Amino acid sequence: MSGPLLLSVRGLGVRYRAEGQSVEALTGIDLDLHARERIAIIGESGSGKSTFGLALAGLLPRGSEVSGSIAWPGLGAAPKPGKDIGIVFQDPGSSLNPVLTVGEQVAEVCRTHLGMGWRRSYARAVELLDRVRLPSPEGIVRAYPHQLSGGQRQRVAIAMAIAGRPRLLIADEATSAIDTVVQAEIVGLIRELCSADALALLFITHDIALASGLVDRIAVFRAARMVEIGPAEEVVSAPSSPYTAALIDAHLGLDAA
Amino acid sequence: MSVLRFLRTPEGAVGGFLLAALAFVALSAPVLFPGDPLAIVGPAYLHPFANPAFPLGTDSLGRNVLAGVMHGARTSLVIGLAAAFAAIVVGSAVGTLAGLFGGVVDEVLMRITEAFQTVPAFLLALAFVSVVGPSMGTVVVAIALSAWTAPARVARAEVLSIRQRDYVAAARAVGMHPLAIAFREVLPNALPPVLSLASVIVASAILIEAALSFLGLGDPNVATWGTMISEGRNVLRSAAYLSIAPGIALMVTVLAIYFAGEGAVEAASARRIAS
Amino acid sequence: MSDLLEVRGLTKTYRRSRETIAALRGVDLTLAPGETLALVGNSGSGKTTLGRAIARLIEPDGGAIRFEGRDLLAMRGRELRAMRARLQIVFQEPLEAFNPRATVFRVIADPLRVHRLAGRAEMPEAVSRLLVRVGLEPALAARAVHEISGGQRQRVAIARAIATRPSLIVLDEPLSALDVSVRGRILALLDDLQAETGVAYLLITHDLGVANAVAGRITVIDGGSIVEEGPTKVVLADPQSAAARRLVAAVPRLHRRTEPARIGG
Ligand SMILES: Nc1ncnc2c1ncn2[C@@H]1O[C@H](COP(=O)(O)OP(=O)(O)OP(=O)(O)O)[C@@H](O)[C@H]1O
Ligand SMILES: Nc1ncnc2c1ncn2[C@@H]1O[C@H](COP(=O)(O)OP(=O)(O)OP(=O)(O)O)[C@@H](O)[C@H]1O
Ligand SMILES: [Mg+2]
Ligand SMILES: [Mg+2]
Repeated sequence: MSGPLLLSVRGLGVRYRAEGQSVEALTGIDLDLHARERIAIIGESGSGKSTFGLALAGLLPRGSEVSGSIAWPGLGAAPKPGKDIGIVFQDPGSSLNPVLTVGEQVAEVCRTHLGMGWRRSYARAVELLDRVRLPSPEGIVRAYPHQLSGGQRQRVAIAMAIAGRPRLLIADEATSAIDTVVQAEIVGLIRELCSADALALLFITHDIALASGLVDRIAVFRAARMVEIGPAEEVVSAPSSPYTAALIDAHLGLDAA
Repeated sequence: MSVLRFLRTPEGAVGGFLLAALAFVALSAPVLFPGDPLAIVGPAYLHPFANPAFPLGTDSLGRNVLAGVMHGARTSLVIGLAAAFAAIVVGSAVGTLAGLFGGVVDEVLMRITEAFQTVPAFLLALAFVSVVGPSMGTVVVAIALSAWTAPARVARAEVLSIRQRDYVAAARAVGMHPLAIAFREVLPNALPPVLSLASVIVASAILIEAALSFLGLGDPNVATWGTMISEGRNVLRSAAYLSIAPGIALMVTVLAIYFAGEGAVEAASARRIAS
Repeated sequence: MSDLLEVRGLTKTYRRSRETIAALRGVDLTLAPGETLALVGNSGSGKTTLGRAIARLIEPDGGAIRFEGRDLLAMRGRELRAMRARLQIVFQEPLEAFNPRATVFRVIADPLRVHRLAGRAEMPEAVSRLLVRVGLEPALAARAVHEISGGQRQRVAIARAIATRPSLIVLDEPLSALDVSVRGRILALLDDLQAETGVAYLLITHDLGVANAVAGRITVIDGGSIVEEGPTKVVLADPQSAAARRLVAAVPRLHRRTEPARIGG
C-alpha cells in the first residue's frame, strides 16, 4: 500500500543553543518514510517532536547543531519547504501573516509553487478553504487571520500546507484546536490526499486515539529519543515500552469516568 | 552576528566603510586641528596643494579649508544624528499612541501630523530658525520639527496591525496600564520598520542643515559645510575649490548614509528569510 | 451561595468585510465560586468570543455580566485593572499571547509586578515557584518564549494566569497541545489550586474527554446560542441537542485490535 522510499533519516541529532546552555532536543533518530505512508509521532511535551518536524523541513533556528543524515531518495534534491514539504506549525496563528487576508496567503502559495496566475490561484484558494471544511469559504477568503476563530485559523494553515501539492505533509498538532466533528472530516481529507496524491504524512499529535485511527505506523518519542515504532494497531494494543503503555492508559475517553 | 551580515552586503560594505571614515574624520578634527577652525591662520586664497601646511588651501580670510571641512563633518553628523534621534523618538511615540488608542486621540494626533506634513520641511525649518535665532540646538529642533511625521505614520500603521495581536490583549488581561502597554509591549515591536527610515532622515537632516547655513541661518560659531559653500560661491570663478571641497564632503556623507541604510535593510530581510 | 459570575443575554456581532457574523446571540451563563464549568461547542461556535467578553477583552454589543456581585461591564480604568487580578484568562494560542521579545521570566513576572505581589528582590524566587508548580524547570525562565516547546508554552501561560490567585480563570483550550501525562499533571494542578484557593474555572474545550474528567457541569454552545446545559455525565451519556449529539458521536476511539496479542517482548 505504501510507495517508493521518500525519506531516510539516520542517526539524527539536534542541539539548540539558548542563553549559553546547549539543549539536546533529539538524538539518534532513525526513520524511513515511503510515499503514501502515514506516520504519527506521539510523545511527551518537550520530547523533540516539533524539533524533528523542523529538522526535516530544514527550518531549525540559526545556531542549532544538527548531526546525522537526512536523505531524500524520493526527491533527488534538497526539498523546498512549501513546495515539496507542506508544514502546519504548532501555533498556526504565528505562521499566518497578520496584514494579508487568508485568501491572499493561500493563493500566494499556489502562485509561487504551482506557477498559477493570480486569478486561478485565488479560485483554488477558495476551493482549498472549502476542502478543509471552512464554512462559507467565499467570505473567509477575505478575512484577516485575527478575524477567525482558533480552529478556523488552524484549518487555514492546513489549506496553506497542502496548497503547493507537497510530497510530504508535516502536521504539528494540526487538529488540536478543532472540534471532533471537523477533526474527523480533516482526518478523512488527509487520508484521501495520501492515497490520491501519493502524499506522505508525518502527524505529530498528543492524541493517541486520533493517531491510531489515521496512521499506518506510530513512533513514540521520549526525552529526545525514539523509544518505540511499529504498526499503529500493534503499538496501541501491545506497547513495548512502559511509557507508551502509560500514555494509552491515561487516554481520556468518554467511557472512562 | 547581524553586523557581519550587514558588512557582507555590498551597500553595507561601502556605506559602512565611508561612515567609519567620516566618523574618524569627525572625531580626529579637534586632535589634528585643535583651536578654532574659524580662526585666521595664514594668507588668504592659498590654493590647494600649494602649501603643505594647508593641503586644501585657505579661504578669503586666510582660514584653513581642511580644518573647516573636518570640523564641518562634526557639525553635520552631530546635527543629523541628533535631529533624526529626536524625530524618531517623537514620531514613534505619537504614532504608537495614535494607533493604539484610536478614536479621538488618533484623529487629533493624525490631523496635527498632516498639518506638519503639508508645510515643506525646509520652509518650516527656515521659519523656525528665523524666529528663534540660529544655534546648534535650534537647528536640530527646526529639522526634527518636520522630520518626525514620517516615523509617526509608519509607527501608526505598524501599531494598527500589532494591536490586534493576542499579546496586547494578554497585557490588558494582566492589568497593565495603557501607557505601559503602549511603550513596553507595542512600541518595541513596531520599531524595526521605523528605524529603517533613520538613514533617510539623517541624510535629509544633513542636507537641510547645509541649506540653512548656506542661507546664513546656521550656528555662526561653528564651522559648517553650508557656510563654506556659500562663502565660496562669491569667488566661484577664481577659487572654485572653496565650494568644491565642502561640496564633495557633503555628497560623500549623504551617499554613505544612503548605502548604509540600504545595507541594513538588506541584512534585516536576509535574517527574516533565514529564520 | 450567590453566583461568582452571572452572564445575561450577551450578544456580539462581528463585521468582516461584507458579512456580519452573530458570534453570540443572547448567552446566559452562571458560575458558582469554586465550580468548574465546561464550555464545549464546535469550531466557530463563539466559545472564545464569550470567554474574551467575560475577561473584558472585547466589548459585547448587549447584555450584562456580573462578577463577584459587581457590574463588570461598567468598570473602567483603575478599577478594571485592579479587578483583573481576580479574573484571568489563558489564551487559545499560547505563542500568540506572548510578546515576541519577552522571556519566560518576564511573562510570569508581569502580573506579579503589576499587582505588586512581589518586589524586585523576591521576583526570581516567585517566578521559579510558579514554574515548578506547572511542572517546568526554573532554568526555563531565561529562555525567550519561542525557544520552548508548545506544551511548555501552554504551561507558562497557565503559570501567568494563576500568578495573581484569581477567583475565576477562563481557560481557552488550555490542554489542547499537551500529551496525556502532562495533561494529567495540569489537571491535578488545577484541581489542587481549586481546593486551595476556591478558584472557579470556565473551561473552554472541544475535548469531551477532558470535560468529562474535570467539569461537574457542561454547557454546549452552537452558533452563538447555548443549546444544552446540565451535569456533565448526564449530558454526555444522553445528549439532547443535535450539536451535542454530533460532538459526542465524533469522539475518536482507540483503534485496538479486538484481541490484544503480544509480539516479541
Ligand atoms: N475579530 C473578528 N472579526 C470577525 N469575525 C470574528 C472575529 N473573531 C471571531 N469571529 C468569528 O466569530 C465566530 C466565533 O468565533 P470564536 O473565536 O468565538 O469561535 P470558537 O468557538 O472559539 O471557535 P474555535 O473552537 O475554532 O476556537 C467565528 O465564525 C469567527 O469566524
Ligand atoms: N529554539 C529553541 N532554543 C532552545 N531550546 C529549544 C528551542 N526550541 C525547543 N527547545 C527545547 O527543545 C526541547 C524539544 O522541544 P520540541 O519543541 O521539539 O518539543 P515537542 O516534543 O514538540 O513538545 P510539545 O509537545 O510540548 O510541543 C524542549 O525541551 C524545548 O524546551
Ligand atoms: Mg511541539
Ligand atoms: Mg476559540
